[in-house]
Amino acid sequence: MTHSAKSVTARLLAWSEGDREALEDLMPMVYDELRRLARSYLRRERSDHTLQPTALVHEAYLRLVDQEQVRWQNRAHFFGIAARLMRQILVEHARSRKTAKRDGGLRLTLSKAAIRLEEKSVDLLALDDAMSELETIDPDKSRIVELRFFGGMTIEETAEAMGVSTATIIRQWRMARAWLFRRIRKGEAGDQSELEK
Amino acid sequence: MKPERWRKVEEIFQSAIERDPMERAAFLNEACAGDDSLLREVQSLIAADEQAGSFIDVSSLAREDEESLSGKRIGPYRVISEIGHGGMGSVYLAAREDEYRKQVAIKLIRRGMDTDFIIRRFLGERQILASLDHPNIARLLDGGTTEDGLPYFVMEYIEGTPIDRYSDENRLNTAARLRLFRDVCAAVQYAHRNLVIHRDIKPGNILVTRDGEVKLLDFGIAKLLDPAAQSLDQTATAIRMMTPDYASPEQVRGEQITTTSDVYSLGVVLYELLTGHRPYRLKSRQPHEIMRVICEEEPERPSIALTQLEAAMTAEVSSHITPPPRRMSKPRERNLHRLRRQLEGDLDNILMKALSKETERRYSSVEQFSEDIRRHLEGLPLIARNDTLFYRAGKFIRRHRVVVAAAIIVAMTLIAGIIATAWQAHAARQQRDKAQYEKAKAEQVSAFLQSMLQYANPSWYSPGKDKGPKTTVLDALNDAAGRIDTQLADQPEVRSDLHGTIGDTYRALGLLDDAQRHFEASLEIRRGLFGQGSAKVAESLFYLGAVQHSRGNLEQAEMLIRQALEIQRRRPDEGNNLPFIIQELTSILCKKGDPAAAEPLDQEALELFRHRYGQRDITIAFGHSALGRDYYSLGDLDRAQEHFQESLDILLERSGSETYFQTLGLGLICTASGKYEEAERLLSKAVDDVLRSQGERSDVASHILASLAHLHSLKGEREQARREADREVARFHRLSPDSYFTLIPIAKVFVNTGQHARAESLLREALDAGNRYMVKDSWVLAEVKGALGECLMAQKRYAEAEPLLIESYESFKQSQVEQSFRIKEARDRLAAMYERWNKP
Repeated sequence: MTHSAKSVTARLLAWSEGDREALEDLMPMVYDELRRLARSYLRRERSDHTLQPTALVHEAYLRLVDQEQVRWQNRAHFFGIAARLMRQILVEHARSRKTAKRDGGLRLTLSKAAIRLEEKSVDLLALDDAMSELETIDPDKSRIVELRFFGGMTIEETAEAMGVSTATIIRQWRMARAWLFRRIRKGEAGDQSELEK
Repeated sequence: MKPERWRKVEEIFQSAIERDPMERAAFLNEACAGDDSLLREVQSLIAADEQAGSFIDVSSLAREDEESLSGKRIGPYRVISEIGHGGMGSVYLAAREDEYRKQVAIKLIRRGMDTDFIIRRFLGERQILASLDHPNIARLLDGGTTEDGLPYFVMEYIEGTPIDRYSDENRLNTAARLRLFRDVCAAVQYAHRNLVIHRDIKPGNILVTRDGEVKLLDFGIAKLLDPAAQSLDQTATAIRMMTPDYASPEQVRGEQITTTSDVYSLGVVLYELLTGHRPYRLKSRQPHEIMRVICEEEPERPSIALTQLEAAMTAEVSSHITPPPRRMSKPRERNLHRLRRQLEGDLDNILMKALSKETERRYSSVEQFSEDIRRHLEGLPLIARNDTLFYRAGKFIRRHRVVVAAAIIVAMTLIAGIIATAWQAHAARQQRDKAQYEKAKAEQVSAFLQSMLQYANPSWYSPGKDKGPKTTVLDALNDAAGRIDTQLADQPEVRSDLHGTIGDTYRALGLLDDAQRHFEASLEIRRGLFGQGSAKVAESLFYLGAVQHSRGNLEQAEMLIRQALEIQRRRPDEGNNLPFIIQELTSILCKKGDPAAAEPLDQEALELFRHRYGQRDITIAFGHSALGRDYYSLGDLDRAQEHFQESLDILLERSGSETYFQTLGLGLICTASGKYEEAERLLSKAVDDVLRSQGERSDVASHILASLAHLHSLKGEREQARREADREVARFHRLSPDSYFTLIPIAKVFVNTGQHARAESLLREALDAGNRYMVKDSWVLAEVKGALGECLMAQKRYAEAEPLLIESYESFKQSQVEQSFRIKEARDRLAAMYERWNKP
């Protein structure tokens, strides 16, 4: 057990006991680990090998959390945080890549994770913006997308994390997806007119 | 967008997409009731939903791989279809290319999830499965790596139905369900014996095949009990959310998980199997609610839960969280009353015991749980009994365990002692003065105790962060210990009693230095007060001897105990300590390898116990087990067997008694008489019991595990024996009188499996240590010499072996009863040696 595993575990536990400060300590720890993993996999990756971003979240969990200690709901807490941080990291990557392209400079480091997403033709920056917007209207839906898409959680896990039934998650997810899809497509078309309602 | 409008949009959207596209337009027109912008909004969302395709669909990433896998090959197998998937991996149905009929399940890490780290965990899981081979556990058949370098493993494919559905579909009655459930127990029991805890037992993981055969699946989050298995660093927990519905309180709280956690989960499964309902209802899936219900809410007795169920069916149950009540009785016993009669009593008690919140109160092993079900099926009395009032009081104590424990121990021994003396005094009417004195003494003590208990009370503290409960109890004890001499300066007798009691509490906490200090203080006061030859002095000497015994100083311990015994024998009517002193002495004698001296003393102690407490008291059980030990050491297996059995019978009459010592004794007797199957059963049970109650690091646990290893080597299971002996020897810290006996079976395994160098060094170490404190013709030393001789003989070092084997034989002849199996063994060894040596 590494030193950081102990402290992450302790803070997860403290946080679930209601210690808000523990969360503030926790975020940078998880963020650093995710970043570290993303970089190190990038360096070693074979060219024919693709890694899903959510694998990093899973691995970070295994590395950072002493599973003998935590309660089952701590896992949901962890994935909740990690999903948000993974989103942040991927969006940062995408942004720096865009800048690099525009500047005509060298190709910046780019995680395989991001490549994988690009192949699926998702514009991460647009998705991020749309999700932020959805959050102002219906924060739960935005969160569900975050957990599923960036945290790699299954429907069941998302349901546990949000404390609702799986049926609810399935319905909310479908609505969120439709809304985001429409929003991004409109963004591409440059049409912003429907937003005022 | 305003919240109300957003809700409205969503409501119509959700209803619309559930409808047939043909009806949708009409529905939308009606639902939007002329609000055009609302209609447009919903229509555009529906259009987006239809066009979104695989947009941000995470599962599509994985599914792509899976679809492409269908029909592809993994090693020599061709994939037929996907059966299921988790966060990290998927399971496929496949068949060998050359043998289409035989279908298998292949578990494979998902592409994209294959970080090195995750792969290591996955291989750990494969390792666990490989160690399990049982007809009721889905077997691991094969393993390998795909062309892409992803590891996979191949399992027996089980075509079956989850146990709950199977039972309902086949309309099994209660007895049939119980029998089926016992097969599940057998599988879990087997896994436990192999040091694997399942941790995720639920109906979905228990399939029943068409032939009615139970198969336990998914040791995915199983955890090895054995911390020595380094390959798995810490845990083999697979990544996924634990289903809390079947989780035990300790699992939900994130505490240490043991084999009894599986007992609990099995209890939930059986509860549901018999009543059709979970033991509790969750009002929501919020973590704190789940935690509260599982950890605090006592489950309804199954027979009562049934009736309430029927009542609930008439009322409206709308929550989708609580499983809607089903008609339970029909598929089970055809009608409710009949089913309720079936559950009342035995089955209520069995389930309540399995579902106890405190692990100590559950069945100590799956085997016991299963055994009680068998007893119920055959109409025999159960191990599980009703909760007593005593238990309910105990529950409070348990909640504040460590804090209150010491204070309570002090209080109870003192109060019991005072009541006993006061009563005796009262009975002897002529000693009125004395009675009054005792009363005054009792008041003094109780006042002091009160102040102490107050100190130990957790609510007395303002909650501080670093004040753990352990600190509290020690604080309380230390505080009391420090105050005795000043506060009770004019009460030497009370003071000496308190020093004794507090000393005993320290001893129970393992703080032997403090214990000794207080016993010595008590002894000094009593010497001055009552004189050297008093029963009170004998008591203090006895306690001091016990402390030395705990420290492994056998010589000093024996001297002190013998002094105590001598004094007490001259005052047979004072106090009840005589048989206890005797037993302390015989325990020391046996460690010195002198059962012949112990046996008559233990007979005497048993008589004294009988005289004082009657035939079936728990002390009688202890008396018998001490004699069982003596006779086993003397080589008299028949008598040993009688006494252990008698002891066991008495203990089984009371619930909650520990019986591993007796079970171990019986297991060793069976080993010695060649009844290996019975021996295996008994020793395994002893292991389960002791692991549960003491944790695996105890000396007794090691001894039983070593005995099991020895048994396996006798049965010719050399590989297993060797593995087990390796594990035990790794745990071995130092050779003390308590661990001495463990070394011998380990060394014998090494002899039997041909690891002669290791055996020799262990046995020589044992011989040196034993020579220092054991009696001359000790049977234990004779055992060591015999094993060492055999070890040398196997290496053809006959000249060295000869004197050892002769000494061993001679010692056994001196120390054992005539018919002892050890004499015969020693003679055989000697003969074999000469035969091989060819020495005239």
